[in-house]
Amino acid sequence: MPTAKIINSSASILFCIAVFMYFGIVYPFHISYQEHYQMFLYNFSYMKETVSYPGGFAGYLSAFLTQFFIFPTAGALIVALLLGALQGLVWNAAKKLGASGLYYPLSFVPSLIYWSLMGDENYLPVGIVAPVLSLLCFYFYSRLNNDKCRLVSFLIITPLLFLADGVSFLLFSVIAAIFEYTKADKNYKKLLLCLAWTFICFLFIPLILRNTGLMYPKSLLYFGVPFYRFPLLGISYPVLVYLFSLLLVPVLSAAVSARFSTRKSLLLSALYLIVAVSGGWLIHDMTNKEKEEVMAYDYYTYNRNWKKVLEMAEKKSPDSPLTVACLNLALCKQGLMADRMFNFYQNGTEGLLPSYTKDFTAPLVASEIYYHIGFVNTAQRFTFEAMESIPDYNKSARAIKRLAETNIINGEYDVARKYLKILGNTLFYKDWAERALAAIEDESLITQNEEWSYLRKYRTKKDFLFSEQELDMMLGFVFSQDETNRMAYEYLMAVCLLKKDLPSFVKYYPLGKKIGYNHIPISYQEALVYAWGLSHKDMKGIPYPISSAVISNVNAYGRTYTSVQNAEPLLRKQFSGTYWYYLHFR
Amino acid sequence: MKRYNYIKFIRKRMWNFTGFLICCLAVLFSCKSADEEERVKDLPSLFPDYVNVSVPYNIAPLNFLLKDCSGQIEVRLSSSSSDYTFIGNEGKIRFPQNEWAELLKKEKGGVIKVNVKAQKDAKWIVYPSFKWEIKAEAIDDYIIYSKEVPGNVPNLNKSLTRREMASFSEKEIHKEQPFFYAKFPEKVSFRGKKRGNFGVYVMDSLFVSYISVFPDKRRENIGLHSSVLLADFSNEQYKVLPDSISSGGEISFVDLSFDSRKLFYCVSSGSVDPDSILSLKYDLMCRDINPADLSVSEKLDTLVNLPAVSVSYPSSSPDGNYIAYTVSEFGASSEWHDDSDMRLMNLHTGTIDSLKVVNSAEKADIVRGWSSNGRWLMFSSKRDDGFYERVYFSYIDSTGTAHKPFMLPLLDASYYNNMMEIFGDLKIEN
Repeated sequence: MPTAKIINSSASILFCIAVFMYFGIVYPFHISYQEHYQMFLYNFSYMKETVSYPGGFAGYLSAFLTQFFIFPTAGALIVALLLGALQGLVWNAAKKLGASGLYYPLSFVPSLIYWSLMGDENYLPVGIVAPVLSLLCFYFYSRLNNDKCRLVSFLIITPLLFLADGVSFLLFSVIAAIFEYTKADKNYKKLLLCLAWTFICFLFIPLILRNTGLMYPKSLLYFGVPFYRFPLLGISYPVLVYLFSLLLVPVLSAAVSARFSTRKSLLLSALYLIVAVSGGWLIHDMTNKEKEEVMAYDYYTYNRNWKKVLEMAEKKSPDSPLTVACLNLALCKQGLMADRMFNFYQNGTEGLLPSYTKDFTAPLVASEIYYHIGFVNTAQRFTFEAMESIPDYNKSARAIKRLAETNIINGEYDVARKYLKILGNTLFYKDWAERALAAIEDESLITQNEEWSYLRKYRTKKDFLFSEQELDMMLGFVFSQDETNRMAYEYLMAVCLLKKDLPSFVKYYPLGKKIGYNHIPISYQEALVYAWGLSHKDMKGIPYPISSAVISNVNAYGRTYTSVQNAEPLLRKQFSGTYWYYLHFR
Repeated sequence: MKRYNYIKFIRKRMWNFTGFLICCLAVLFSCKSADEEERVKDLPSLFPDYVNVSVPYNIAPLNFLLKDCSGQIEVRLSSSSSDYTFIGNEGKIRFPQNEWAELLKKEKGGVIKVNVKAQKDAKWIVYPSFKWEIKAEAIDDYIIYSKEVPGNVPNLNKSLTRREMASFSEKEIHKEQPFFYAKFPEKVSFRGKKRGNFGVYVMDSLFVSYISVFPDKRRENIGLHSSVLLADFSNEQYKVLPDSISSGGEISFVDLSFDSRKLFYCVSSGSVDPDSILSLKYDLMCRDINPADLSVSEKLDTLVNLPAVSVSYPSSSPDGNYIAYTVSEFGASSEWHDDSDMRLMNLHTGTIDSLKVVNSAEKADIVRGWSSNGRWLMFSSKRDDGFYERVYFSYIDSTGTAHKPFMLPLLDASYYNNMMEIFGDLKIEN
């Protein structure tokens, strides 16, 4: 029969493995998402700016670790280790306060809570780093045997930890105060002294900082770096619960250990069961698969992995505007859009060219679409606005890279150089930035870059006003400047088809003669044949080379559509992948 | 015995030692001497560009970096009565505050000769000297700004920073809304000027951005259904001017003369129509004001009404002699037009100076204001990278002649490399 010690150790290891597998396999794109909205710089000014606020050091450390989330597996490992460390340190605190090993399962509670909170992409890794720092300080503090040494350490560590860790410093100071109380045989003096010093630090340090001219909102001076990406919302209820659990678990475990004795194995099993089931339920509840899907599409689009986008869509057709927009872009890049776009769910022009929304996520995804089809300035605007909308005022390395690219394509080398020099201070964008800087100095390198030279060729050379209500006008305008621009043409055709504007489709269709299609794309055939059928009895004399399969299908579709009442379910089975189904039922 | 062994030891190793010495000497002499100098003909390429500028005697140190230099740099400042040499590393120079202030006070009204040499590839590159004219007319003590992101719609609630012009010290101050602000909840945008106890403001009911995909990324921010308000801060009274002053157009910018007796404003020649935005022009008008009852005269002076020119950001000088403004091809958002340039009009003679020595060749330059003695024109310019506006000052002498501008000094000359904000809400004051 394994001892409690072996069971507990195994539980910790299994916990870390479970976290790693969850973030590595089930939720990896939430990990990479974190990296997209920050930029860690290896220079003194960034460090100075980051650590000069309460909690800044924890924020700096967290940002350092988050940069590795560019590789989701590495990010999953880091989160697993952090949550494991948190669990271990909570247990250490509980043990030092006198908790029995039977209450070990309770030490998983705070880690489980924050694990579930990270199902929401706006909960930041600093929410684990800050308490880990605080409890680590307690770990070393509790190892000091000399009372005077501990007292002096407490007096020094508390204010420093407040500056480094923000409000999480309370974990150290309150637990240390209770530790002193238990060590001193329940002598209130040390407890009160510790708590008084904690209170003084909490009250006066922000005031002192404010008077030195530190330009930081009051709430953040007191609470330090926020755990949630929206700092102006203050400390949320879930974060409060989490912080309390970090304090409550060690204290409660110790208090209960002292008072109750029961059958050990029963208690241990019961606690593991309760903690595992509750934790599992919480994590399941907070897991958002729809958002994970959007992030996955964005991730592969950003990395230009068009095949992966198509693979995902084949498995499960996307249905939100952003995911459909990414799919349509992938189809277009692979030369499949005109044939296959209606094989997948389409939700109008929002699923083709998303409109601008004032937040920090959707425009960044949408900017990918505009960038690749040649609306370079629109991509730049969307990217810029998305970055400046990041609620915790971070900059985004991903966005800055895109801004550098758009400025290089536009020939604005001075601005591009500025962005590239900033990226030169990062770990994972540095090499790319150096190559881009070299390209700025040597035009031939820009010409050799397939993507940049393509976009330079096809971006607009003339002025026009951007209008989301007139996408066809804008696309037509760009296309008219170079009639070999296949992407602009296919997007123009797609706009007409998605808006169900068949007359415009038929009018613009001949413009594509210079594209070089070896056959009329299937969805165009379907639209042309339908448009012909609206004003002709049969297909005789149709001026387009329509395949016999399409003619046969349209006839079959027409027969069912006109003869069966409520024909949608029947038509969905056989014709959901056709333009006609979209036309009538979407 | 030991002594004998010692001598034997040295003799044995003499050859090794000699060889080692020869190698050391060879290495030493193979390095080029750092005293070698090379004189070049081109003036040094500095950031900020402080070559041959005119500066006030109460300005903060003109710290700069030498482009394409990452080694040691030596700067010698000499004048009729002083001679200082400063050393910097990584191509950057940072003048000590106290010595700088002392030097400039001594050279008030005079000229400082600047010699720069930089270490490159183990030799000193010596550049031709240039000068700094230290003007006896001071600039105001403080500059006030907010750091904002280019392109955003005006944020009415942001905080401001006040920085000393003679140093780099900054302090946060709160932006106070005018006393009448709450009386117009339907207005979404306020912009204007306060001169002493009086102020003039444009209020818009609607603020729209027309985004273009011009190759140079233009954006038009336009206020619609605008009204103009005159305010008397000492009596806490205000008056909304009748719509007739705009003659059916929209008013974009307003300015008040320093004696609060003249109102300058930019008005469109017709109603604003998004479809014809490329032909949207604003002209510069002037009317007299009676500060006692906040009324404006019927008499209208048209200062600028030219076919291919749209005026924005007018700013009259404190002595009432000049008005500086920005011109662009169309629209009001001249900060988004690369062709935006500044002009200086003599209000008595009507002559217009195109400020060639001040304007940048191809990037936007926008008037922002004057120092209280009317000698320093403050403007923002995108000349450095074409996107981020930076603050500049140009000396305008008593004859109205402009001198080469200088950038607001930086504590660290490379600070702007990482800065992705611009300075908005600019004002200088004592």
